[in-house]
Amino acid sequence: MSGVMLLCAVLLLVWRGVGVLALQGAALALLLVWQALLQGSADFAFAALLAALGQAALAPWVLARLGVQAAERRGVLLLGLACVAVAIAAPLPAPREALAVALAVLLLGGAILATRRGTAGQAMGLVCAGNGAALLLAILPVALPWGLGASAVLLAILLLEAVVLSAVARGIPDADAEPGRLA
Amino acid sequence: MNDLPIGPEYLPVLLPVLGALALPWLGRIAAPASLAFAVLTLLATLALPFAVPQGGPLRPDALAMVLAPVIGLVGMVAAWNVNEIPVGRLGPGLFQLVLAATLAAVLAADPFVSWGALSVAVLAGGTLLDDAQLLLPGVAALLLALFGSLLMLGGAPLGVALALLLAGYGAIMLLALRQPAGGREAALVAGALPVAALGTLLRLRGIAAFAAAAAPSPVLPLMLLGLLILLAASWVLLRRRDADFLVWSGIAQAGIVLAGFGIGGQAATAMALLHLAIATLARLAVAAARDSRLLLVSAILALGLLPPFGLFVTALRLLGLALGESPWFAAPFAAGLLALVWSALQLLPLPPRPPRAAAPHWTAALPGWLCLALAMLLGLALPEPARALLWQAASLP
Repeated sequence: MSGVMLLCAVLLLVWRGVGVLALQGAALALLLVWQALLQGSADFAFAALLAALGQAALAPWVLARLGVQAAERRGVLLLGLACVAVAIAAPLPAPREALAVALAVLLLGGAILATRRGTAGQAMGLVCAGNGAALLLAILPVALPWGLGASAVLLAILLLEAVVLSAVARGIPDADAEPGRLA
Repeated sequence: MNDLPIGPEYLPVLLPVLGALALPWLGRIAAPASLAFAVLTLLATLALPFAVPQGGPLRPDALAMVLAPVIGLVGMVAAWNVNEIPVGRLGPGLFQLVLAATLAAVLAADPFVSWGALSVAVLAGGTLLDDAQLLLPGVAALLLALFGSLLMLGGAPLGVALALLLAGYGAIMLLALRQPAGGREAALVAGALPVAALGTLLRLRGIAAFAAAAAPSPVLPLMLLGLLILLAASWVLLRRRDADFLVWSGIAQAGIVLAGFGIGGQAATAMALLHLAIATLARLAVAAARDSRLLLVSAILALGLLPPFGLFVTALRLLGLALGESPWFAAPFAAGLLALVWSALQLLPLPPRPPRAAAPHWTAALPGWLCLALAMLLGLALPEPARALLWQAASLP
């Protein structure tokens, strides 16, 4: 499933199809369901539900309505390759390969954000990066403070994305302000 | 018993939160009420040394006692000109929310709380300024930092986790600093958010025992990143005649602070913290200069590391400490500092401004003068209690 998520991230780098983003979110939800079954954890089950609703359904639906612009082709694949190479080369603990995939999805999300024109396309990169951060929760057992679980982190990610998507839907201007020398 | 004790150390966060909830309903008096909340918040940050730590998510340690009043002052100065029209109905509330979140980030007892507080600050700041270039890359930077925090909590080796945290919080600091001068909202975001991000990075240095004698030295990333930021910003200021001095000198000052944290040791950390406080005050003076040419010129001289302002003293002291650390580091560091001085001198004399129909009231520039006076006082004659607090903050693990 994490391989599917990585493939989706690479495809998102060059395509504008939000269906791929929905597939990535669904793969994340399935991974979290798998963890919920393995550990018998209600927290992971709730996290899976959040991922299915937020990452696989709601975020792609909002982005589809906003209209994502086509990707820049020049040099994008090279940048994607660099992201994957950095993730592979990073000295990560066990399970190393799975963590490298999560890091690669996160970095590829950042690459999508950096290379897209238009705030909707950039927001798509953020959702992809959010999937990468959430993937880590399904891979690495994390002891969060105050007994918080994976679902709390996923809720925080969804909140970040919700604020961004609502700002994009509101029409937040993406052009940089004209720089002016002081005085 | 009580799992979440609420003590006086919570006041600097609770007051602006209360303001954020109340101000959208106050209509025409929202702007003066915002100033009142900002003044009360500043007083609450100044009272932090009298708070008794009771545990919980916030902790009034020496570092928080140094950084929180700086953020409080940013809030007060930014809220000063009550005649400016707030951005939308939610504007004053979001303003207070940024203030509360940045204060919570410097008071946070846990890296996860810092992350949450900075998340709120970035979301509220980006929404307040309606700036996609802060909001979208800012959230991406937060996700990087979240990944780093989760790796750290998952017991992973610190190297990658710290690199991600450094990249995430460093990016937030730079994104906030690129706000141009003018407007109370930009002054708040560009003043408070970098202080909160740099304070969080300093705490992470402590958590990771960054300054410990390890091989390879873990202070190197902070030192190199700081130097890189200083040199890049100085290069832009020298090469681009249309570069905004306030923005790029602010980025250069952040580079100096990071490099100071990277040098390590109590003296360098104390000087870097003092540099951060004075640079924030000098930037505020520019933002609050209004039509006062003398104030603007003085603030430019202060940001240009020129005497008699405090940044001259702290930069010189940091250069001395860098020389003691490594001449290979000190040489480019000195070049960056000199470039900053040169670019400030190049701005003077200021070109004449077209006359305005209505000059702002003389009280408009008062907070700017206060900031500038503090920027001079802190460098030349730091009061003994403040010096003791600063050194205590610099000695925190």
